[in-house]
Parts: sequence; C-alpha cells; structure tokens
Amino acid sequence: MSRKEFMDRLEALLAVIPAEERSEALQFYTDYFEDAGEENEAQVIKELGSPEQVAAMIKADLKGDNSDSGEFTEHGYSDSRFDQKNNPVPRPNRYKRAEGGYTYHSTDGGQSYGKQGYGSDSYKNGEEYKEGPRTSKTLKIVLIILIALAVIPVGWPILLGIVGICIGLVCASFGLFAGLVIGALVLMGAGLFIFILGLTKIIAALPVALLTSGSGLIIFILGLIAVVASVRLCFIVYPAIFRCIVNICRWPFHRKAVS
Amino acid sequence: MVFNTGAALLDAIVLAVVSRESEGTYGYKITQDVRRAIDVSESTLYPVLRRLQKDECLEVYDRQFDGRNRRYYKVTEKGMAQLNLYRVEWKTYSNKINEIFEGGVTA
Repeated sequence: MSRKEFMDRLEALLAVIPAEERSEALQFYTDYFEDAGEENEAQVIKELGSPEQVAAMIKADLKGDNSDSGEFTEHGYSDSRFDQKNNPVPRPNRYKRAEGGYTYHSTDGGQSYGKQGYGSDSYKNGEEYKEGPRTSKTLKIVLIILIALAVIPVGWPILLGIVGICIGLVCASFGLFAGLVIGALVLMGAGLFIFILGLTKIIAALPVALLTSGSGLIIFILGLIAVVASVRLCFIVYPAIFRCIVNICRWPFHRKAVS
Repeated sequence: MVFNTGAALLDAIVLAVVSRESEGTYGYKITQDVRRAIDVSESTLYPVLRRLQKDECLEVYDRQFDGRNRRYYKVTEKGMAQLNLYRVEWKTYSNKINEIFEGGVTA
C-alpha cells in the first residue's frame, strides 16, 4: 500500500465524522508522512497499521470525547480495542484460563470418584475436596477388613508366633541387662567378702592377708564400676525398649487415626 | 513492555515531550519521542494530541517549513498546570511502587 492509497482509504473511512475532525486528522497524517520522509514511507505505513485501524482510533476517541467513558479508564489506550502489537496477554483472560484448567482438573477428580462408585459428578470444588478423603477412608477400611478375613486362618498362628517372639525378645533383653546389673553387684559383694576375709588373716599371715585383701579391693572396685556401667546402660536401654513397645502397640491404632 | 500505559500516563508523557520544546514541536517528532519511552502504536498518538488540544492543554499553529505548512503543538498554561499535576502524582505513585519493590532491601 502506498502513501496515497493509505490516505485515500483513511479519508473514505473518516467520511462519517465531522468535516473539521476529518481535515484535522488528514492534515496530521499528511504532515506525518512528510516529516517521516519518502524513504520511511513503507515503514510508517507498517507502523501505523491499516487505515481501518487508524480510523477506528480516531472515531473511538471522538466518541469517547462525547460520552467521556472508556478512554479515560486506567486500562486506557494500550490494551483497549486497537493496540495489537506487543500487547501482553490480557490479564483477566489468563486468569480465566488458569481457573478453567483448575475447574477442569477437579471435575476430572469428581468423575474418577464417580467411577469407583462413590459420589457423583455433580461435586463442586470445595465440597469435593472435603468429600474425597472420606470416601477413600471407607474404601481403606473395607479393604483392611477383607484382607483380615482372608488372612485370619493362616494369619492367627503366625501373628501369635510373632507376638510371642517379640515378647520373648523383650523379656530376654530385660533379663540380660538385669543380669548384668546383678552380676556386677555380686562381683562387688565378692570383692568385699574377700577383702574382709583378707583382713581376718592379718595376724596369722601378713603377706597372704595383704594379697587377699588387696585382690578383694580390686575385685570390689571392678564390681562397683560394673554396677555403675550396667545401671547406666539400663537407664539408656530400658526407656528405649519401652518406647519401642509402646510404638509397636500404638502403630495399628495410630495408623487408623491418621488415615 | 509488560505494563500497560493508561490514558492519563500517556497524556502526561505527551505533555512532557511537547513541553520540552519552547517553540513547540510537530506530530512526527512527538510520536518518535514518545515511542522512545513507551511502546505505543503510532496511530495512538494523534487521538491523544487531538484530545489534549480540545481540552486546551495544547495549542496548535502552522508554520512554514520546507515549502509547506507544518502543524506545531505547544503546551498552554492549562497544559503546564496539568503536567505539573501529573508530575506530582507520578512522583507519589512511583515512590510508593518503588518502596514496595525495593523496600525490602533498604528497610
């Protein structure tokens, strides 16, 4: 399109507006082409867009002048009817699209619940999210009961065996650590006894008495250390065992409460 | 640019551009100057100039140039008052926005 074609077309399109406005606009764009220079003619035509677009802008502004609407709002020129280039995607649309995706997604969820035979497609967003966990929980409980029923004949003996082993292990560890403490106490007592025994021989045979009571003291000290160590060990181990047992006992109930 | 230029801001920019020339300036130059700052279509500018002219913020006169009449735009007193109002508003507005954008760093 040449400059002349552009201006002729523009003039024709502006035929409907008042003569004064038309001549003003035509004067402006004539000037515009003159100032841009012949070498930039194609560039200017490209930048201006179509004569229809230019005319639409002029007409819209005239309308806006009368009614004082649209044009002066904050969204104003750059994203209203005309500006096609470099216009970011209109924000509301984008949100709408995102919302659409969201709605679609949740509707989808509703349908899949429907397929499982719980609830219907008519679920709306929030409701459905509330509804969802409950249905799956029921499903889980049913499944658990079914599994339990299937497993019971074989399961009971095995379960009892496992429980027995657990109890046995716990008792054994209690016994082991208690035994350690008792052993250490006995060692201590023996040391003390030997020490006293040594002391009674002090008049009869001094070297033997010293040897005996010395070894008795050493054994006593060793026993004392062993007692302290084993008691401390028990302090660490027994709470751990208790916690372990409590956790194991709580596990089935706890899990049910969570699900 | 990702930010939309509202009508008021466009008016303010056009007034500011025109006011820089005490002798007034012409359509093509105004358009180029405005487009240096913001990305608006060239066809946007004429309606703005025309409206500012009707609102008596701009006055026009023709001057001989290169063997033809060229239309010049000049800011009127009312236009200057309007421009100053825009400047104040813009300062407040941009300060607030800056505060929000950069406040986390300076505060």
